[in-house]
Amino acid sequence: MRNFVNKLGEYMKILNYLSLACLLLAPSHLLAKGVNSTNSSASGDFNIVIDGNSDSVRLIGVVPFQWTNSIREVNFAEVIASDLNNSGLFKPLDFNTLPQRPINAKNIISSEWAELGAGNVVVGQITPKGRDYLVSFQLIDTVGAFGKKGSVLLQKQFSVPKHKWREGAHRVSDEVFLKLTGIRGIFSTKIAFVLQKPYTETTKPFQLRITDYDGKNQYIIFSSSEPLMSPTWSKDGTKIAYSTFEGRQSQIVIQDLRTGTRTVAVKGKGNNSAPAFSPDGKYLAFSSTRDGVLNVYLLDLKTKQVKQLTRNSGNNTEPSWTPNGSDIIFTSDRSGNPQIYMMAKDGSNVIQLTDSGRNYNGKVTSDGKTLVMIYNDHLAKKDLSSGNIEIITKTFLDETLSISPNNLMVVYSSTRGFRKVLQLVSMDGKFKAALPRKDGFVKYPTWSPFLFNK
Amino acid sequence: MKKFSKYLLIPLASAMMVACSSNETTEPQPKEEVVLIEETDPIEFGGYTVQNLQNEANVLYFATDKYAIDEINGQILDAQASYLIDNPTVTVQIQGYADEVGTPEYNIALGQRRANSVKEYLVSKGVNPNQLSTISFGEEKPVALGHTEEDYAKNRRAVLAY
Repeated sequence: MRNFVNKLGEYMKILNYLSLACLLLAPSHLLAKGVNSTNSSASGDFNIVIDGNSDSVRLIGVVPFQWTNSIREVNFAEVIASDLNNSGLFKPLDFNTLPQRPINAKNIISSEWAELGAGNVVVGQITPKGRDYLVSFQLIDTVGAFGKKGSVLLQKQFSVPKHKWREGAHRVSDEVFLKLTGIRGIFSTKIAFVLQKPYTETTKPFQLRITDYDGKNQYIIFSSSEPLMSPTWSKDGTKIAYSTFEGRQSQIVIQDLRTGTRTVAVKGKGNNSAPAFSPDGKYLAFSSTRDGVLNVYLLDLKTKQVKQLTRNSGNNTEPSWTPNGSDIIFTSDRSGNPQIYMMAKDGSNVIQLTDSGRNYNGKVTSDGKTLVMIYNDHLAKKDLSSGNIEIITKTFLDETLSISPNNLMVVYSSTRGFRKVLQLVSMDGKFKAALPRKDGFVKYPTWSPFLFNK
Repeated sequence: MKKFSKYLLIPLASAMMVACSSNETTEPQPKEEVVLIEETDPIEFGGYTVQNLQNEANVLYFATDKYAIDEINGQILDAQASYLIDNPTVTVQIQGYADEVGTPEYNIALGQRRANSVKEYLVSKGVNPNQLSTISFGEEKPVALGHTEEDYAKNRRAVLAY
């Protein structure tokens, strides 16, 4: 972990230096004129609409990929540019303002890109081969930040099935992002959420959906006539647990994403909700009103034994695990109003983590350093070593947050007019985006873990 | 539930007989009179018919962070209690709801408090707890979608769902 943090620090230094250089070098009209991430989308897809950007954004050139023995079938460069733009750390040059359209590193005139402030350029070629696309790409350093001007920082080739071409584009984005920031990208991750459609449209208006992180490739994994709440991923990304009100009962269901099999994990008197898989996948923490008030329980997924972790102290819910799996963060109103607490996974050693205002839905980043939570009605973060609290959103009635697996972003739900919409915000609060849709309420976003081993 | 359907059937049967008799000029049958007496004397509990109790007088509203049963809710619940005591085979699910302030999972707690409060009141009036179950929907399924206090007041409720 320390290595990671040191490395991150190093890259952030380079990043700050580069962004300063960009600001100095780039004509001001170019900074405002980045690529809009409005890809053509299938019906029901989201588009990410960016409302605010980070100050430390870096310009980058993404050149439309060259097609070998074929006309262009799909637009890889557009997806890659959108990904980099959506990260909040990069601003791709508008495709219409590119100084040249080189097909590979050899043809790049570095000075032309450096003049525009673009410190890096991505070029690539696509060759259709049967059912696959052969993807080759290169990442070039135009200002010599990593060595010689014009040097190739990254050069890779891989095949992707044609119908999964977006995955191929996201993979390029992940590689480029990792190389330039030292941080793993989230462009191949997914987000699960609940869409509530009007009752007038369908008898099963509550839909549990999974989408690519950018709102594309959505599909429904379960729909119900009654509310669905709090979906959450297993740490290996193969299962989702959520609560349902089917048959007038509140139950927690675990659904296997490979087979579609649904298993009732928790049922019985009262409410059973707020599931959270332990990092090792052996336990499911949840809350239940089985004894009249909300308490946190622990289900051993193998032995099916249930252990009560909180008792005789108000309502206790929203369990979430610390990254090492030794402790559970939860919300309790034992002090009179809701605050965030932490306890060992056997229920011992309860520590109060917040004490001002009303705090809910606490989650700790995977480096264990920051608590992200709902503070009154806004998303906030608390530095666990300094104790500083910072509010990072201005949206209305924020709730149900989920941290991206690389800790750079938070996805959450907020209210706009009569609707609930998904919002993205960078951990520093500077990059803000919405994933609006007009056909219903969008609630309970939950970010998948990294899904592909690299 | 069985008893309820019987009351629905009786007026229906009598209405059919009335319809038949109006078309014919035969003399009234003594059987009809018996049926008509039942119809004009519907069973009521605290001034509410069974129909009222199950479909209209089954929603109770609460102030912000309040769960206690006030006088208005008490009147309705007294009627509900006498109906449930008189009909020990009838079961009801008490559903608690909250407004949208706070997170959905924490609002489960607030809805549950309202459902519990209703249940405790009914039990204190002599209803068998086995006839009652509770569940909380929290802020799910709001009745009013706006964000004013007036909207929130409509959503902070408990529903006796028969």
